[in-house]
Amino acid sequence: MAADLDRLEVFVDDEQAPRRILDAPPFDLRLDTTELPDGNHTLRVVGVRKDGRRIARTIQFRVDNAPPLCVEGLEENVVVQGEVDLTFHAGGEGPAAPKRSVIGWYLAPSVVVLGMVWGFFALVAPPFGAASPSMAGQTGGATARGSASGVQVSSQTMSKGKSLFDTNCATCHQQTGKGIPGAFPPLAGNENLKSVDLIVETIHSGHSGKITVEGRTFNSAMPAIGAGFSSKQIAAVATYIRNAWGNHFGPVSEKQASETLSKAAQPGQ
Amino acid sequence: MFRNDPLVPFYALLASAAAFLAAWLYGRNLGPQPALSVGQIGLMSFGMLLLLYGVIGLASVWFEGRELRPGRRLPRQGTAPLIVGLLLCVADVVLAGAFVRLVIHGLTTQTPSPRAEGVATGALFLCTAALLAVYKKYFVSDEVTTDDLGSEVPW
Repeated sequence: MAADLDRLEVFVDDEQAPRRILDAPPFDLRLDTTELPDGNHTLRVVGVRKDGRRIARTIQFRVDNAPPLCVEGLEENVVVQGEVDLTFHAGGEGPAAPKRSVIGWYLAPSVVVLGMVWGFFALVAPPFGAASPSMAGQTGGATARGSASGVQVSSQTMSKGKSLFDTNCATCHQQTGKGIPGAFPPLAGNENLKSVDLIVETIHSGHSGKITVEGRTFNSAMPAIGAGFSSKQIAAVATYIRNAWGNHFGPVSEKQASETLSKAAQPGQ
Repeated sequence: MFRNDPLVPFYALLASAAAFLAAWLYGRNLGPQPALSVGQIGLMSFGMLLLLYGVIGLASVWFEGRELRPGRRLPRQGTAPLIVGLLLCVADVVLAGAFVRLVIHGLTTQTPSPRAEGVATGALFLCTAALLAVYKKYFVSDEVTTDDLGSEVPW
């Protein structure tokens, strides 16, 4: 059909000459209705075929370019008293959006609000961890702090170690680190914890045979609780029990734990 | 005329950021904790609520402009929105594939990675939301109508 089409002629109302002739696709036309008076109009499109035959289509439409009138301050059928302030907007102009400066309305309030929050916690509120008796009891005041060796103990490592200890070790050694007299040795104040190798191997491979803590001898076997732990996890548990409950034996690094485990794994060791 | 002001949603986002900042600083002051405290959970809940409110408000400004004028809006189609839509579709497919692979990998090796799965799922939903937003903005016609203040519709 389109191959037979020679051109399209567009007429508006009773125009004798076509307003526009479209002789090739795309057959697009932008009709500016502001050129037409308000009221009813007719759009007529005539397609002329190559053989001279014509097809036509006529569409009736209505133009209304009158500017909208907007009244602010009074609604239909409302009861008013005294003086009423009215605002009229015509020509499509609504109330203009207020111009706001980015700095005054957005940036400055952001800096003030966020700065106040930061300032409150940084300058006014004390660190709760140091004053919290519950946390101090559980972790031995385990915020980031120096150990007896002068090396900083990471609070994150302590937190991770506590989590692992509570899950895997606290049943026997107790959350207080005091153990069970006659059965399981205490870790709080246990001088054997000075040895990194001993504690890492014990966590990884367990322990059997007699062990003396603060003059008391224990002879119960400990299973290989940490056999499935990574070096990092073993280091975290070791760091925790060496620095909780008043202990100050310093942290155990992942590298230390890894080296100890490698040495223990070598044949003949 | 009804005004679609971005100021209120912006302040909602600001309050949200303040709530999250307060939760973080509060946690830092608490020291090592095995889990979030009640205060942190409360602050983050309010933060998420305000974040949602602010994002919805700013999305409304983006969709409809600051001034709502009565009338019909025809879709503003174009090449750029089409390409963005296609890219978002591809991103959706990639993220969905990544999510499935993460789940299968977790099941077969017995080492699931919930954090990575959560990130993939979150990114998938965000991409889908962006795709819907682009579709709504550039491919759907819209109409703004006026309504009397005293009408039966509550808004």
